[in-house]
Amino acid sequence: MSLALAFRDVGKRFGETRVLEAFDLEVPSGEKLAIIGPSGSGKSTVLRIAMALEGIDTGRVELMGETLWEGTRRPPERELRRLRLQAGMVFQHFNLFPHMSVLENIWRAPVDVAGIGREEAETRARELLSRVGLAERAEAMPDQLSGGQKQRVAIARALAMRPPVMLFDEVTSALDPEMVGEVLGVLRDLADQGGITMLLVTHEMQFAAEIADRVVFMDGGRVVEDGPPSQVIGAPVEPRTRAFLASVLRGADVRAD
Amino acid sequence: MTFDWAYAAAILPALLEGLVITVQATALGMVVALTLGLAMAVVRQGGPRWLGWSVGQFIEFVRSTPLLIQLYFLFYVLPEIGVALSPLATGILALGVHYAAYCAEVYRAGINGVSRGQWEAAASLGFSPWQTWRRVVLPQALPPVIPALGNYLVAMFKDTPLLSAITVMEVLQVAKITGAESFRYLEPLTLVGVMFLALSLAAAQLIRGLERRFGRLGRAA
Amino acid sequence: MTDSLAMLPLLLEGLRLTLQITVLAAVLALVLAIVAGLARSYAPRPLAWLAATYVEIFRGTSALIQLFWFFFALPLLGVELGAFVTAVLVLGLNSGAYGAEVVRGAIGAVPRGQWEAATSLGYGRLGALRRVVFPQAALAMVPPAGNLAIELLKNTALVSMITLSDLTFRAQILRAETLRTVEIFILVLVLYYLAARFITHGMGRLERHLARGRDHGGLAP
Repeated sequence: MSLALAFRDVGKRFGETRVLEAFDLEVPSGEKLAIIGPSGSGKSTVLRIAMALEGIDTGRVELMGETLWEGTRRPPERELRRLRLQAGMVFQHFNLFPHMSVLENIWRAPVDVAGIGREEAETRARELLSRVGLAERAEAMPDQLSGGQKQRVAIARALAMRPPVMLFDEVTSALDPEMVGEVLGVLRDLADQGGITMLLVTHEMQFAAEIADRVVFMDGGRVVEDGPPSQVIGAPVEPRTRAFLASVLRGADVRAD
Repeated sequence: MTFDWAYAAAILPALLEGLVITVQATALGMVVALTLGLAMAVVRQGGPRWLGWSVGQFIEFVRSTPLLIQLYFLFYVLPEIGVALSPLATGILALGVHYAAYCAEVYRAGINGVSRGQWEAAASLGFSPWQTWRRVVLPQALPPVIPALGNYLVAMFKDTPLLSAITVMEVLQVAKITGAESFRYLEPLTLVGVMFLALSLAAAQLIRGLERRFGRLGRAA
Repeated sequence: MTDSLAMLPLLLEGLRLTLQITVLAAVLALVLAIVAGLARSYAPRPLAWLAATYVEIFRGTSALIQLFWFFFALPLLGVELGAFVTAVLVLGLNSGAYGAEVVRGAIGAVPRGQWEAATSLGYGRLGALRRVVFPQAALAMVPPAGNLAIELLKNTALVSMITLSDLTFRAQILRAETLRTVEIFILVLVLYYLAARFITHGMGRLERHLARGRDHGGLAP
């Protein structure tokens, strides 16, 4: 089976802080991988590196069979942009474009970046909007939407570029509790539909256990435990994983990341 | 000596002609300032580091030295290097470059107001740097700075009389020549002052309106 | 190169006059700014109105027009001031008008809670202003005052147009005599630039001095 994403012995630091250390991870195409772990464990950094928003210091990262990062070498801007088309990202704080309508948020990149005709792009955008249950809000401006609605638009926006890999960076963490469900519902549909490789950094353990093929627990910039949800979340082997899950179950302050 | 209303009325048409030149020079100078300033702000933020640094130094230098000297400099030096511009064109260029340095700082504040998440969202969708500026950053950065740019338009208008120093027949130059001919400076200079006061006050009203309209722009999405 | 250095003493002589006018006008502007800035908000109606008129007239017309008016028109009304006094007076009045707005803005930005706290301790309006509000506002005034000081320095170049032999005037004379335009004007620009840097530096020190051992009081950090 081919790999969608591979981290090989990756090291990354911000100033004095080591964010990733000897980090290895292979994600086969089509897999739904959940990454869990405490704040500062480096899990969001993994996604940001895969999206080419951050470089690395040592090691190598491959995206859809091509080298994205190798050591500190930075690919030329053009190359980076081509590689970025292999991945799409949904952010914790949505990052919708506030000056564009909901619909334009979705069709703008396919037209400008992928060179698709405006009409076709708009049709696709409307399809995606109905898939996330927001068909009737096409003409609204982002400011007029609730947090949950914004995040569903952000998912549709990323999907519009049809990337083989989708990265979800704590997409429910900034939402009011009553809006988490609608966003998870959209993610669940996406997972059920299959075909897309999904990486989810999340604090929703129940949800991760439900939809992920595999769960990775990270701490201190390394993979501590890696296995099916039934193991990592259901019956963790590593003491650190157990401690973390226990703190989550106690309702400790993990969502306020 | 008292204010001679009849004389004032007699010279008013000539002064108004000069005022037209003044307004034209201001308008064209502002076009130069707005475009050059934007280019400098973008290069400073998104260009190569050495170029951004150089532009920053240039802005600092232009802002720290008198417009009058810059005006003389261009007026005398451009012909020496083979660039033949009319005094009016030279004046417009000097006004434009001088205020471009101020506008660049205003644009910069607007650009800094666009959150990092917007840049990242654009990158994650594969936008090129040019597309990111055009589609994502500038549409958000520009509206909030329109009132501040308006203030510099008024400031530039008030600096345009400096062009009289290089023989441009704008309104102050007309007033001076009229005064020298008749030995009556009171009426022409007072009229010029009143014209400027009226236009500046009107412009200030307009800018207050712009502030109400563009004062805030939601960026939280 | 040696020749351009030979021009330096002459230019430095001009710089001395430039700095003299800058300093004297700055002192006048400081007094006017505080008086007019406070009067506009806190003085009885006629005085407040007078302050507002002063500020609007001097901000609404331009420094060069004001210089010309005081130099050419005012003598015709029987008031002869001489070029040097005119320069200091007009530039001081001009900067003071802008400064008044800085003072007004900074005092307006002190939270009402500070007034209320002072009143609750038994201070009168003037006492509260003097002991509590003004000292807090002063810190916020320093950066814009620094910018105004640099604008003032740049504006002194205008006095060359009313016959004073400041730095700009001497540059003009030297240029006419030697025709070495580029060297002279670059030298002059650098001199102005250094003087501006000196002001920036001094204002930075003043700000740090005022801020020492104090958070921003009632002002938002």
